[in-house]
Amino acid sequence: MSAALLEVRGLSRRFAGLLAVDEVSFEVRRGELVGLIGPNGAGKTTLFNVIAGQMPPSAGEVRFAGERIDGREAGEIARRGISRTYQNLRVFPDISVFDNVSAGAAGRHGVSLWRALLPGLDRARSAAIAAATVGALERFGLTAQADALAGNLAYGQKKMLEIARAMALGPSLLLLDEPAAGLNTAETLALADLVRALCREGLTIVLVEHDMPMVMRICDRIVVLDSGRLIADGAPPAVRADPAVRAAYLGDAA
Amino acid sequence: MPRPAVVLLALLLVVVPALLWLAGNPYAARLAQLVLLTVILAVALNLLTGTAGMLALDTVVYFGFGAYAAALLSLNYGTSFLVELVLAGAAAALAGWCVGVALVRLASIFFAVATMGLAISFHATVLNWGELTRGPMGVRGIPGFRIGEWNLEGWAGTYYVTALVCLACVWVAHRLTHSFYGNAVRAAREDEEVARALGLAPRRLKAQVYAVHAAMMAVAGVLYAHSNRFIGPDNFVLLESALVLTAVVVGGLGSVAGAALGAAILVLVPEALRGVGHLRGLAFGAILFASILLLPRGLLSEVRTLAWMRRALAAGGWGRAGRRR
Amino acid sequence: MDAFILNQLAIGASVGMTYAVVAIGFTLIYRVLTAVNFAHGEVYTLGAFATLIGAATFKLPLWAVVPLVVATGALAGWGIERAAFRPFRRYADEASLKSRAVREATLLSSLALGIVAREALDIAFKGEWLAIPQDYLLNQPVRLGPVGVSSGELVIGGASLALLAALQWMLMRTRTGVAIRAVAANLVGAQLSGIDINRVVVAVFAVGSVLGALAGMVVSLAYGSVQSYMGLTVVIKAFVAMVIGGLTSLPGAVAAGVLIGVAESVAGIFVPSAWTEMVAYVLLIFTLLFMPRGLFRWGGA
Ligand SMILES: Nc1ncnc2c1ncn2[C@@H]1O[C@H](COP(=O)(O)OP(=O)(O)OP(=O)(O)O)[C@@H](O)[C@H]1O
Ligand SMILES: [Mg+2]
Repeated sequence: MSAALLEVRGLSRRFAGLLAVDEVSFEVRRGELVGLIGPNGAGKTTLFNVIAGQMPPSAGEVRFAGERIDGREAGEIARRGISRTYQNLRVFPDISVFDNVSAGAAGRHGVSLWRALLPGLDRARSAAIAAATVGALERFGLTAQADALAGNLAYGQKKMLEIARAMALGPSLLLLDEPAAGLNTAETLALADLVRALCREGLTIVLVEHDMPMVMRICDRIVVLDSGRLIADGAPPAVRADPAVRAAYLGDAA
Repeated sequence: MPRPAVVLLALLLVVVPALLWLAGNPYAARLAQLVLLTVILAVALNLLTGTAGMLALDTVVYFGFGAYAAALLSLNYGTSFLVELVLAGAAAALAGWCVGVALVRLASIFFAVATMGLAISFHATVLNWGELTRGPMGVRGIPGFRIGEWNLEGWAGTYYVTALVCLACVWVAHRLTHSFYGNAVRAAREDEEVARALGLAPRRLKAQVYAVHAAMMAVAGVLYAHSNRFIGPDNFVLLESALVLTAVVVGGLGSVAGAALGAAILVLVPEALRGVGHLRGLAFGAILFASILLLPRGLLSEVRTLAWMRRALAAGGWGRAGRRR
Repeated sequence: MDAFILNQLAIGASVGMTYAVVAIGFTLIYRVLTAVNFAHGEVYTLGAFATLIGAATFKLPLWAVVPLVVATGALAGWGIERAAFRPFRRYADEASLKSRAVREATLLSSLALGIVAREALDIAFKGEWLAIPQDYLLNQPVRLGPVGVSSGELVIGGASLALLAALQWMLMRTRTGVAIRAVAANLVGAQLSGIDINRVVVAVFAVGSVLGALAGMVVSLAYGSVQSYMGLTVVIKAFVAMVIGGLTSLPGAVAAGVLIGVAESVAGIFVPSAWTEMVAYVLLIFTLLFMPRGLFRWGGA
């Protein structure tokens, strides 16, 4: 087995005239924490959408654990072990925090109409889903809010809830889309620790983030996109020094 | 057995029949049976519209299908109502699965209109397919409940048959709502795309719920035909769908107990205001309107009943005890 | 071609024009709010009843019935917006105006309002088919070459075309029309440029409802009777027209309305007339499932 958990090869995604992702290739090794950065509109979220199967690619391929997953159905990709969060919060607002997280756990263990109807058949699986849910709630500090409506949580807690829900799926690869956006300094620091800790436990993570200090500090490697193209891929100090990266960000700021 | 189940069984199988027996009033017994029948419809629609979030107006399609199947089968072939319950329920589940698979991809308003179209088409079919349905005259002389030689046509027999079927339907709704299956369906309702990215199959879940709801409606239709002894196209107009929808909205979308409560209210309140039978439609429209505006989560809101059920259920799994507190 | 078939086509086109006029009301609202007004059919019914009351009760001349119907339609539109839509529009930003929760709440509230109006009319007029006085009716036979139609059908076609032209003029040339188009095209932008969204929404409901009420008037004059449930089937066909027409396109809705009318009357050649009702539903299901973006993809306006 190759060391790469995720391999992206020549991946493109076109919207009408716009090439949002343009022949991007990179790898993510098992246990790695990779930062994916780039100016606004660089195509980071689109890349996540394609990897997670929520959008078909226009060209190229994605391999996960050695197998092609591009073009497969999002549910199947999720069950294979890729889980994600969303840049614009997408918690399920009208159900409780517990129910939100349990949806991820239910996706991992599966639910079925017949098992739900026949008592006894479902017991072991229900217990597993409950355990995964409770575990994720505890891990992300949401136990006290378990019965609250997700829509009523504070912003930072909603962000935690999204990660908890994604983790309840038991993924081997976690795609985080700007988890720190909108958080205050203390929350951002806590989040950075949490992400680092998840990674140490063996989870592979791709982190999209605009908070440069955080990315530089915690990531093992950084991949930079600009206007859909990959312009840099390397260790944080090297990427920080890269003239192409500086140009992309300065051009963006100008 | 969990406490709520004991209370419900005692209430429906002992307390209410005892009260009816004491009252000795056939009209009250008929009313109680009608409440239970409406509870089946409301609980079924609540699965679809409340838990799965699909606003449907096609109640009368499956309800009417069950009623006509029962009426025509028993008159033409002398079948027992037990056979009809199974046949109509299975046929409706199958039909519901096919229709559901086709319709679940429609976004909310389009699903609502498509089901409205189904309801109006069903009514037109019943009205115009005279050779089969006896057209506008309706079907008369439908036999009451019987099992072999055992005559259940009296109020007690009719009541108990309805109560047992109603309990079975409530039990199914309970299993599907108060479980991780229910959580998955609610996730599919909230955001299909996110649910899919969590490894769930939102469209399959919704189609399943649609099929189950169709089967329950058909079962209620069978009971209706044998207890009313007469059915006609006028029993299956769009307005009747809206009435059941009103019950579900008033009770609280997504809450099984709320649906049952809403059904009871909507059957009993108009009866209390006797002599205004012709105001029924108007009153229901007004109640629906007021409810959406003033009490959008209904009398028993989904979150509250779910939290309550989780506490009430026994250890393990979905129930609270499954959570180390 | 056979004169009978030509006749059917002419009748179908004229009926289809009424679907088209009713569909416009839907389409305008959908463009601005992505919501559907389920009480729209009752506006059509109210237009027909206003005609009946104007003609039979007040014995107004026909030219005076028109403003009565227009006023009824405008009032109904305003009332529906006020009662069933405005309360759910607490925040005037795009996300909440077009959110799923608001869409579904207004679906239910307008459905409920429609039931109330329909049932109230049903009670007030005992659910009977009521006749429009003879001398108001538009039912003189007219011969156009080989085709014989009634004057009512011609008037329906003519009046519908005139209404559509008037609407087009209104959207293109008046201040309100320009505001409506601006909001439909870009809600946030329109808001930023100082357009009062609430007023535009009221205008949309009023305009759409006036059209619906006038359609009800013309149909009642052509066919001679009104009933409280008459709006129910028309409104579904109008909805079908909107969907087939591509949801937001006025020309698309008109073309689809005529298509449905013609399809129904052509179907009437082959199956008993009671079954032609189903044509629209078959078209609806077919379109929703296989062409969810509508048959016609027209540009703006
Ligand atoms: N569904 C879509 N349809 C059309 N264009 C899209 C769509 N999604 C994204 N785009 C376009 O693709 C480009 C890349 O967008 P994307 O959201 O992937 O950028 P991003 O790197 O995530 O930016 P940000 O940092 O702002 O989140 C943008 O120009 C965007 O407008
Ligand atoms: Mg992004």
